[in-house]
Amino acid sequence: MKTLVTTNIYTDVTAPTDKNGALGVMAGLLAKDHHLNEKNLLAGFEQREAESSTGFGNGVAIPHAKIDGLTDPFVGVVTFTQPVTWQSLDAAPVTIAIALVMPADDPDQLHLKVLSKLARKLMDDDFIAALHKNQHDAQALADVLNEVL
Amino acid sequence: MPSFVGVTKCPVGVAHTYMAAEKLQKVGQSLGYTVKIETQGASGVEDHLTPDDVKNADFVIIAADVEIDGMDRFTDKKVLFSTTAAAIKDSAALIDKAKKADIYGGKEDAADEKVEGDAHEQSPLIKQLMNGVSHMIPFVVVGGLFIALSITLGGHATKAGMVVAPHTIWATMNQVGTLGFTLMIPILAGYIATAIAGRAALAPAMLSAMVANSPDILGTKAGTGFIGAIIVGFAAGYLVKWFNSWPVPKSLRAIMPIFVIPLLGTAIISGAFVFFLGGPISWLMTALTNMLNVLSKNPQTSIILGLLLGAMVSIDMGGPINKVAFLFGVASITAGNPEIMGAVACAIAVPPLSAGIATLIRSDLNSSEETAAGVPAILMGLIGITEGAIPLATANPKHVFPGIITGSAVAAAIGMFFKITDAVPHGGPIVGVLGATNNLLLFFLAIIIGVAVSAAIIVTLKIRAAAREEAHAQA
Repeated sequence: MKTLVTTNIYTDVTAPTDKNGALGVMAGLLAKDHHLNEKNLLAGFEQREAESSTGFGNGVAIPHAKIDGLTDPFVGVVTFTQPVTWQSLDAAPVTIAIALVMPADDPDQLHLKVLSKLARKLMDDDFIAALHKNQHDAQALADVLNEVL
Repeated sequence: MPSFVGVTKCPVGVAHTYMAAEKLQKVGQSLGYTVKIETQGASGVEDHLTPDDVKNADFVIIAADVEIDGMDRFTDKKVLFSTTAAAIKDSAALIDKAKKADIYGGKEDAADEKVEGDAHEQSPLIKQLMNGVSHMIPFVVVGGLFIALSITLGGHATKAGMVVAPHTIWATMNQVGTLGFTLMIPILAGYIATAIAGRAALAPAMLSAMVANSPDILGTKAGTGFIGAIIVGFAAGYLVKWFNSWPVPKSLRAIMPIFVIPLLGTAIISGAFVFFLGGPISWLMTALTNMLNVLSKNPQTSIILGLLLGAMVSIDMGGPINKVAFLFGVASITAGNPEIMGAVACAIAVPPLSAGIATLIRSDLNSSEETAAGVPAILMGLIGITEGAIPLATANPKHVFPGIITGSAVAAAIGMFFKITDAVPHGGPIVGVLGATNNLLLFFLAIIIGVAVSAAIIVTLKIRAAAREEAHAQA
């Protein structure tokens, strides 16, 4: 099934257990897939985290960034072998990070609608449980997410 | 069912805006609330809160990390300011806090707020007027129907008017109904004023509206009725809004809305009515009475007299002009020539009957106020209570006034033409049914023609306006 927003999934990634270190690893993986400048992507993530932490609890974080010149937004999922300290709302460490990367100036409202639907879905306990249950299985995670995207 | 509304907004507008909205929605619903949350995200505003949504909400939760648009919508509501993070983390706690939140008093300088350029939005003046009308309608309905019922079931036609026997349940009902009519005037003025300038405007507007409707304070033969109440409402609202813009030292700020503004506002508005308008109103009433006297001396102008009396009855429905026409009719009974009262009695029923009937034709064009006030207006019309049309005329003056003034004028002119008499100082079909008129059929005919003319004008204007609006929207 063709989805509106591409999804890249990396399961059981070994990364530093501090937020900046983990974001660096994520930026590296996702930048390569989309031919982006790794430093720009990381700076985008860090800028958003500086405003407030994107760790919204239940072991899940949604770092996001707006990138100049990007044409198609994408969602990148990374699950960590070691829980990462993310200054989350419930102070719990994060094992699943869902990155939302968007063009700085997106003319296509449809993408934003899809991402907002995903954001709403993250408030659904069953959805979060499904993410955790499948956090070692890239295909299963993709299926869970594609139901929304 | 308890309900609340909210607005969420975060810096990027992609994730937290919607997460917070979703959480508030879920938690609120699980706690038994009706919930609507507006999201102001990167893709624009979704689930836009309408004035009705806000009006019906018990409180408002703003879960935003940056300033939201349209904060002025929540003036005078309980508003809790919080962040998206707090909503995502613990919406239940926010809802609990919001129940006890402070009333939002508007921005310091409301004039600086940008006005949304939405063509479908009503102008602020209409919104303010409608705030008064929607609060007034229940008072008119209760007052009018209680009076109508008490007169129908317990009233007797006498030379002093429709008299309800004292010390009966009907007399009590009549008194309660009269209180409803008394209260509708300050409620209309008060809620127009609060829509403009918040709570501080309530006391000056309500008090001054009572002053403007108390002939003994004004020194006139009649109060200024609902038109006076509308003038008071707007005057008090904008006066208090101006007071609110004064730079006031912090130490005085707390006592401004409860002490300084009500005192100054009431003194200025009430004073203006007593000292500057009492005289002109008395003069106007005398001048109109003299004019009617001149016209009634000459039998050749009786049709013109009828047209004029009819128009006067409906132009301010219970205000000074209506009063002149009515008292002129009453005087004709005393003088043994009740033809003039007959013409007035024909006109009295036309505004509420026709404006009420007009809401039943093309009811898809009605506002909620019109739907609520329509049928009660018809019932009041049958009992000759002209005031029943006030909510409809206020809600939609551009269409209703041309209709009821023309229709009432036609009805009274026909009454004059047929020389219908009415020996009771009261109007509407009920005086005919009770046998106070000399020709029941012609009396009814005059009323029916007047109602038909008026309703046709109202509905035609309404349909034309709706068609224009549609053409405008498509262009």
